Amino acid sequence: MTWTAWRQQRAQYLAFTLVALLLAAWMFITGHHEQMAWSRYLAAPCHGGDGFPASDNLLCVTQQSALSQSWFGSSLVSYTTLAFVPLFGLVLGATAVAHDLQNKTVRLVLTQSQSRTRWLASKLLVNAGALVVVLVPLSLVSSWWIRAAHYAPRLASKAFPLAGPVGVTYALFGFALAVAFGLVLRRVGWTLAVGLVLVAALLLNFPNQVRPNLVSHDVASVSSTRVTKGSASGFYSSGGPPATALSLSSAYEAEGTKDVPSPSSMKAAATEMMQCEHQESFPSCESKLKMVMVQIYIPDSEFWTLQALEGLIYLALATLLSAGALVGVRRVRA
Amino acid sequence: MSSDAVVLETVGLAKRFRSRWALRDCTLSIPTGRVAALVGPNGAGKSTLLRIAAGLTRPSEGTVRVLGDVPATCDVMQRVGYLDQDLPLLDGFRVREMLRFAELTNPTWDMETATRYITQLDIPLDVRVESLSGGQRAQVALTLCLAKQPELLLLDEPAAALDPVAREDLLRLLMQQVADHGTSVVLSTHALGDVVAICDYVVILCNARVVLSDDIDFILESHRFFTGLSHDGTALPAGVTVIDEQRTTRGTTFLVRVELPVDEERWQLQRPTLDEVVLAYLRSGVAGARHAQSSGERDSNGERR
Repeated sequence: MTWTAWRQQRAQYLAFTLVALLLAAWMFITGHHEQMAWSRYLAAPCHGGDGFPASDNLLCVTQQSALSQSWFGSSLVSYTTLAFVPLFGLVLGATAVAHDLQNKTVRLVLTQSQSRTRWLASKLLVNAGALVVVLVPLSLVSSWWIRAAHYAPRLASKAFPLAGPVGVTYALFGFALAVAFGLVLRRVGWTLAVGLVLVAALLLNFPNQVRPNLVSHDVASVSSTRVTKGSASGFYSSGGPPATALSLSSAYEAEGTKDVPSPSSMKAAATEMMQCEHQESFPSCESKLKMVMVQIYIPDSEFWTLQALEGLIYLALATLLSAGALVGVRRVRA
Repeated sequence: MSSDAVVLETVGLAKRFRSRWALRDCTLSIPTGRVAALVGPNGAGKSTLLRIAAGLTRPSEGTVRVLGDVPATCDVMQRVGYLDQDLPLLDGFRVREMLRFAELTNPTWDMETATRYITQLDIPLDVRVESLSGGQRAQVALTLCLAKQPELLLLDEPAAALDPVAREDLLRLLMQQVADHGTSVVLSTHALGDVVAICDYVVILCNARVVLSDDIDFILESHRFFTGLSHDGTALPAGVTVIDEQRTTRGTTFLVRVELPVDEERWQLQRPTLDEVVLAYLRSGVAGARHAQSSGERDSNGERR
């Protein structure tokens, strides 16, 4: 059955492998290009735009502009890969089972000398294997690309799935979801449509609703200083979390406190500050109320913990769906 | 009849799709070694019965035993070949790959026989199944069933869409298998000519119910046309069961089931053909046939009470 499962979806594996290779090549080329551009920009004489001599102004501005322009290309690579990975799983899942039910070839397959469970198990294993074989190398390339292109901190929502192997588990989840729904809906089109909606809803909400709650948070204080020049004035902020961290929210808390503020204390502090700010500027209020603004963030050191926990969640969901499909297939009308 | 001597046995079998009954109260017992035909109009429940027997769908009520066991177990599926009326073959596969698929999924598969059949039929092994004609598709699908060396073949209208030549090739291949291996066959068909040519057992289904199930020889022996003048008022002999009647101005003809021997001088008796018996049962429909079976609502004169 392994051969049959592979042979039935061979064309799809080849098509998706080709797309994955093209994406990898795209990332490889743009990654190298941007890595070199960043190296040039960060080195003398431009020093990343941090105090270059006026004689090099044209060179540095040109380099900076080139990096800005490449941002669009990087976003395209990033979003294409982000869409490709779960779509790969969804399409394989929808065509693995719903296609046989829709075309009635299931009547041929299920009347051979093998159990329904074995038929489905072989489809699950072969397709999961294909996903892993294609997507693990792609995730290695994409994690290199995230670093090389300085695209975004690896904890940022748009970079996190590409910066580690968690994307592979998205594809496995999408695949298992489509297999389970395919058994019920029995139509490839409907299975893909429902699968797309559910997977998109989960993947779009997970980074904000679930991921921040998987690890403990850190806080970093932010100090604000009033700066006045002539008639103009403003505030200069300093401190805050490291650039590689994932900022979640900001709040006020009592000076000297190192703990992450609870929601109730955040609310109380915010109310106090608002009342004070009606009369005074907020740096005055901070010193008067002995409060300090803090930013709550997830440090970069939690990256692998998050990758592991999120990956396990998606794998657990995929396993549950697969187990449900293996039980349900015994009752499916062919 | 012991269960060993029966290839397909159903008791009170029924299948409902939402509010519609596809099969109801189906009780039959097909002996081993027969080529049995399931005949009946579209929607009579033939395909449903075969799919239940092949383990593709579960009955809503009743029990079914195939080769003495419940369907869909690996042991039973190894001994049963099923050919669906849609002749499903795997998309994109070449004929050679279809044979390989069957070889990998059936431990009793005989690749030599399969290749011989396909070669005999002049079907190229390297052509994709989408490129095959309807007849070739049917031959490949039947070969997949035959080379599995099953004890029972369940064939759902195997020759429905075939031209006469392809039909004859298919039936010849089928009969070759039956002759060589003594395989039992249950096939559904609309072609009464095929039934007469290759079958020795008939199950008639009408409106989702079994109305007749027996050996063809016995059916022919136990049915007669009784023809008499319409005005003489002669009563039918006691014990006969009226299946169908046709009245004309000159007289009345009853097709009746009789208990042999028939010794009746007042009526003109004639042996019906199998086509005539089948058509009479189908015409009379479920209600008439059930009345006839029970003899409860008609008397021996053939008059309604």
